[in-house]
Amino acid sequence: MSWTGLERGWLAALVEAMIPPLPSVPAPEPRRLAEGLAALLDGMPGLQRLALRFAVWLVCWLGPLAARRLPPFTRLGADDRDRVLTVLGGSDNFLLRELVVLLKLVAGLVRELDPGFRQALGWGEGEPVCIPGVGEGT
Amino acid sequence: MSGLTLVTDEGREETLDCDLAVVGSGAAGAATADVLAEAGHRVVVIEEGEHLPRSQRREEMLYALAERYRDFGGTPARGRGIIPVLQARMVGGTTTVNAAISWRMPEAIHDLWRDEHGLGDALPWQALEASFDWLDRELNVRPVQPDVIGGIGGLMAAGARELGISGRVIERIEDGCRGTGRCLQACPHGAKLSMERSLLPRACGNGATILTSARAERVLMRGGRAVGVTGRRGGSGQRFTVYADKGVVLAASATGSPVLLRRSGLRSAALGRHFQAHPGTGLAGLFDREVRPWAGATQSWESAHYWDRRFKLESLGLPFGLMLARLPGFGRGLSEALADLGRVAVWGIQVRARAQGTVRPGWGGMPSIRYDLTREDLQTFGEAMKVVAEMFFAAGAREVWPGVHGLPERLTSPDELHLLTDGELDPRKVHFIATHLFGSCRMGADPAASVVGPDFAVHGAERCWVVDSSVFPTNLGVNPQHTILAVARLAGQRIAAAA
Repeated sequence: MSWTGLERGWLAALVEAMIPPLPSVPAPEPRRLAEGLAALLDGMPGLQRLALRFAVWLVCWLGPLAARRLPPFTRLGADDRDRVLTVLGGSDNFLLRELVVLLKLVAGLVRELDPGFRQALGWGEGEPVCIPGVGEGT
Repeated sequence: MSGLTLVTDEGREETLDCDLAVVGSGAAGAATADVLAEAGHRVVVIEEGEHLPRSQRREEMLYALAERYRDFGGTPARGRGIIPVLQARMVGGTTTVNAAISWRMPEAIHDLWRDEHGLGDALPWQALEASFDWLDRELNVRPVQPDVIGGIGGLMAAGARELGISGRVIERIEDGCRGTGRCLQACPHGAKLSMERSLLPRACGNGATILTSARAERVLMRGGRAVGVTGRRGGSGQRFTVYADKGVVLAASATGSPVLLRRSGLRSAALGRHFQAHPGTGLAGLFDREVRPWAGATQSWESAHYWDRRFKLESLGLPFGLMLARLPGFGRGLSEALADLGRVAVWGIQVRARAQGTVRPGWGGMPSIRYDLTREDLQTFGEAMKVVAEMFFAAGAREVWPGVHGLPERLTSPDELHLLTDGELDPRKVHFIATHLFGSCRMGADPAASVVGPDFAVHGAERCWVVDSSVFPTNLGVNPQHTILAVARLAGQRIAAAA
């Protein structure tokens, strides 16, 4: 079953919240984010897509309660979103924790598709660092 | 030109005839196909994935996972925790997406197999050595060149040196690595001499054909004899059948081969049992100096110093998307960690685990894996993590990020490292991955305790052989690609003579 527009919107909000903008970390450009999410959902096999969908629903609707906030996640402000992800990501419940880690992985994979994001973080710049004395067995 | 003879999915039912069908085009399948084709047999290699020429390989990890890995890199091994099993799904198999590390089989493992697993002279050491020598030349095994060792490996070497831990620059099969750290996405420059760049073109030069996007579902048996392979094409769903006059060779990996045999009706007590792996994890270290984790060979330095204690250490350059997931924190904490990205190194641990699991056909005929690390394995991980953390601090790291739930996200002093070995490690609190898979069709003389005999032939089936690492009675403790290649060459020589 394909994802609804609403579900895609929740996923986008979670990806944005996982890596919120800072002076040195740009916010996602909406068009690139939408393209990245489409590529993700096209590329993921069924079982993983199902797990992701479960994570999105759970974090969106039950996650806020764990941080003593009212759902859905998308209505929360930046501080509360941060708090929800931190609480769930540090949960002693294995399943909850893993689902948030899955969202973190997804955020990384999707944001990697934006060359501007990589560039802003300096990824890929410069030659390999040379550590003196390495090149022979120690 | 790739030098490959491919039969791609054209959306129609396909029937091919050959002498020998080889299922799988990774290290084992390619090495066997090469020997069989050279001996004059008509060979068809059946590969589940497609051939992706370099020009079509997009560099981002998301595309790599979608196009080149089985199950998006996340075939789950279920136990107390869930361990993703990493395997590729393309022509060349997992050799396309590993770091091309080359190790000869440890002699102690050979002795163990010979003496305690009843292999006797099945794998003569001299014959293996001859295979290793040939492979070294053919695949250009050489140390990572100094200009692409990079910061991750260089600092690891420096930390090890401070602590008196031995190690070496990694030896790989490559020719012309540019140090862009993209081994895990399948080399975009064609420098890695993975099978689709080395042994498969040789096999095709001797008449072999590769049927791509073809998932084998059953070995066709007639009167107890293997006569072909049938399955479905990945894109169109069309059926294919490969008739093989002289027999069928399985090289579908330690997850694929036992499932294929079971789906083909073979019943054996050992089939799918004794599954072993090299589970691994990684620690990250934050340095004051620049590391540039994106620049340099994906893996450039390693230590087998603790092989007797069952762990091995390797530098590890992760692609951006995976690296980001390895940083501490969520939300703002993660964004703050991103500012330090250029000063982070990841060093990996691989454990010669004692754990044995099972592989059975699961949903849709795909492998269902059960695998639980033993208490001793978890202790080994704790010890190894402590050693790695000590190496980080010895190399000048300001912080170590252990990535263990329940421990501080950032360790800032060697005085805190006891936390890594205090108490029992819970497999649900660490992110493990499993690579290097073994044992699910183990070799042995006793049909009650093994799946294939010393001649690689499946007990109870004629003209059906298994040649991949599923026949290994145990794991190796070192990267297995070279051993898989050497053993498969040996198997190919025997099959070529017998067929």
